[in-house]
Amino acid sequence: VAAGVAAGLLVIIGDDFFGPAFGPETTMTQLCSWAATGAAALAVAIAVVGRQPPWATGAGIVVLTLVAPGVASVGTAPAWLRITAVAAGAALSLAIAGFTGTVLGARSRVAVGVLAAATVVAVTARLLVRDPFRELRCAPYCGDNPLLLAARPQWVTLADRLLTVATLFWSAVAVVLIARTRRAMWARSAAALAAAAAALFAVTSWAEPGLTIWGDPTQRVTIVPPLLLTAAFLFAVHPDVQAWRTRLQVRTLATDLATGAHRDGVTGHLQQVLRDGSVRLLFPVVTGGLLDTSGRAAERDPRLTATTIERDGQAVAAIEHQLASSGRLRAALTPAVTTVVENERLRALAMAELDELRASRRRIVERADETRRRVERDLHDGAQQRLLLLGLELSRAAATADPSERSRYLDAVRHTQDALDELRTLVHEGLPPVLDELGLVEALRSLAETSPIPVLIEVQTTDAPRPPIGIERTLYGLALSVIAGGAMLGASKVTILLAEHSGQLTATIAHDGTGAIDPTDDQDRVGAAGGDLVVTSGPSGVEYVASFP
Amino acid sequence: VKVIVIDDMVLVREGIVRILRDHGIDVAAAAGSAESVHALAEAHDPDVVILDIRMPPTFTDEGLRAAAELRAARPQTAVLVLSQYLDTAYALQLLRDVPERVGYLLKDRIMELTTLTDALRRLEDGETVIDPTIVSRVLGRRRERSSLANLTPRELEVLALVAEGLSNRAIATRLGVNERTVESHTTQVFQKLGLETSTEIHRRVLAVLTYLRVTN
Repeated sequence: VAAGVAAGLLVIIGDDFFGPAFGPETTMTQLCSWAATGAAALAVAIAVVGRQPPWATGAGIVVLTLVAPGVASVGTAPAWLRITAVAAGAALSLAIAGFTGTVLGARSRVAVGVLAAATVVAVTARLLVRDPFRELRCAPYCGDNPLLLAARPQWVTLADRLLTVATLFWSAVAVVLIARTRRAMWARSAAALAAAAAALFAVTSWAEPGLTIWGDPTQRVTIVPPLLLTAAFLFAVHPDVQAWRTRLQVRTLATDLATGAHRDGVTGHLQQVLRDGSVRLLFPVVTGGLLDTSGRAAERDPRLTATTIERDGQAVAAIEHQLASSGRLRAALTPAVTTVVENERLRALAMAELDELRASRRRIVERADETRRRVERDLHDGAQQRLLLLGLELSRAAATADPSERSRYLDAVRHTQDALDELRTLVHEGLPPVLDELGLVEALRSLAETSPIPVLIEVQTTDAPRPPIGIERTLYGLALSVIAGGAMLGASKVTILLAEHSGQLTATIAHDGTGAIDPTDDQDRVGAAGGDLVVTSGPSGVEYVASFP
Repeated sequence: VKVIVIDDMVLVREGIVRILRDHGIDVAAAAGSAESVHALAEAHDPDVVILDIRMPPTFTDEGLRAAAELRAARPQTAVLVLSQYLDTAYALQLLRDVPERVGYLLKDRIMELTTLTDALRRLEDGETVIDPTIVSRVLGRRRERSSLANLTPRELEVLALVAEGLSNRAIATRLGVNERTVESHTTQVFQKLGLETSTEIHRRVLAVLTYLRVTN
């Protein structure tokens, strides 16, 4: 950055301030060459010290793009060599910017490519019409340039204007790209400044082509590469600055979490720090498979990279992210961070266990219901049919029996009938077939018919599909229990309200009896079906509100 | 009366056949699954088909569905559904699915020799048959403010018989009064309950049962 800025300053004010100090032979060109060489050396040093691919690549872009004009400015070299050097340097920088995908995101890559290409356009176009590095004092060499067009001032003006348009265009593109990348503030500002300077230069050179406000028109051209390169360099080094910030932020993870700085926990923090919404924490379980932070079974996303966190050689967690390499992230995972992640893992395991317990509780209740249903079916097919048959035969016998014997037969028929009634009540109470077959509302209406106290039923779920059978059975059981409780506490009526609100089924069952109640059984049953039961008891009665998501 | 008996429990089916034959009723065929109903009905052209409500394959409401399908195909055939369940909901569903000449009796009624034959005769006469136990259940239901409080004992009696599916004439015979008296009773009852008066037996039963079931 410093080298780029220095080069720009030298280009603008070099001759005025340093000209005499560097001796009469000092020219703009030499100053530029020194600046370029200095920047290149600095870039190489950074690349070596940094030992990171992005640094190296960023530096490579700078070296190639700056050294090329440097070579081009060596006075003794023939013009064709200088022109070729500039073109080759620009092409190489484009290639590096364009194809080394590890450095930058797609947009930044485009921006760097565009800026480098603008450099090529600027330098090469100017070379074609005039020797930019030897303009004023080139008398001995200018003749060597086969493309020298100094004798055609109107062409020079035209080239200047074309260059201005191109610079303006590239500046605009750069500004848009800069604005659209989610980079750090300072990087954006610096790059925008560079682009703005280029634009300013372009505008003034349009107003005064080939004239004096910038001094020698050649200098105006030579200011373009350093400015654009400064911006390019900023883009090139930016990911590393970001990585450094990332490292710092990941390290503060434990503190941030302890102070509750992140509502979304570790995952939210990592997502924010890594600027990657796809970041996920996964935890391996002993039985194989993975859990997410909420304790649910999860699968690895093959498109993402995973960084494993280990403890005592055992993988305790994996962080899934978009970043191709996990080296940087792993370096940031200090013991404090690992502890936080492991804490998260314990939480996930606990939640998975809790989920499993809930599921198992539900299964136990469902199995009990199924068993009951099966017993009912068996009784229906067996004992009930035989009792029926017994009653039938007894009544047939009664029809043909002696009048003296008949009353005994009819008594037996009545006993059979009673036995059937009792069996039916026993089997159907709590889980009547009508509940499974015609639904909760029909079953509740039937329940109301046999209830010892009036039952008022209101249904606000007319259009909703039937809830799962487990929930229907639970609510029926709850209604049965509340009616029985109400009857015991001297209630004068029971009201049942079924309502469905944005996917949540709520049953409000209330009676106006007063006294002590123990809702534990009801709460267990509702909880097992995945719902929630709130019981409030007061002088006006007891209200049970069961809700199911 | 020519009947067909469909019940998946062999012993019970045979018992029903026996008791019907004891009473001189012509049992044309008996079978164990709802699927055979159509073929048998086509072959024997029965007056009444007696169906068990719970049959294979799902053992839920095959009888109800078979009844509706049979009626759709053969409007002239009456259907009597026998159920092990004492449940108004099934009776109402049957009344809704099968218009006219349909009966819902508790299976236990086969022990009362005359009830079954009486039901068959009534179906033959075009009446609707609803088990008296179900009627007494909906009538006896505890209500917060009884809408039935305004009815006289005689009117309640008439209401129960209407709900059981009896025609005005049958009610008159049952109560030993003349048909005009029954007519005035039913008009009174329907007016007091705010129901639409209908002379059509089936619709009358459906209206009364639904009213008794859902009114608080």
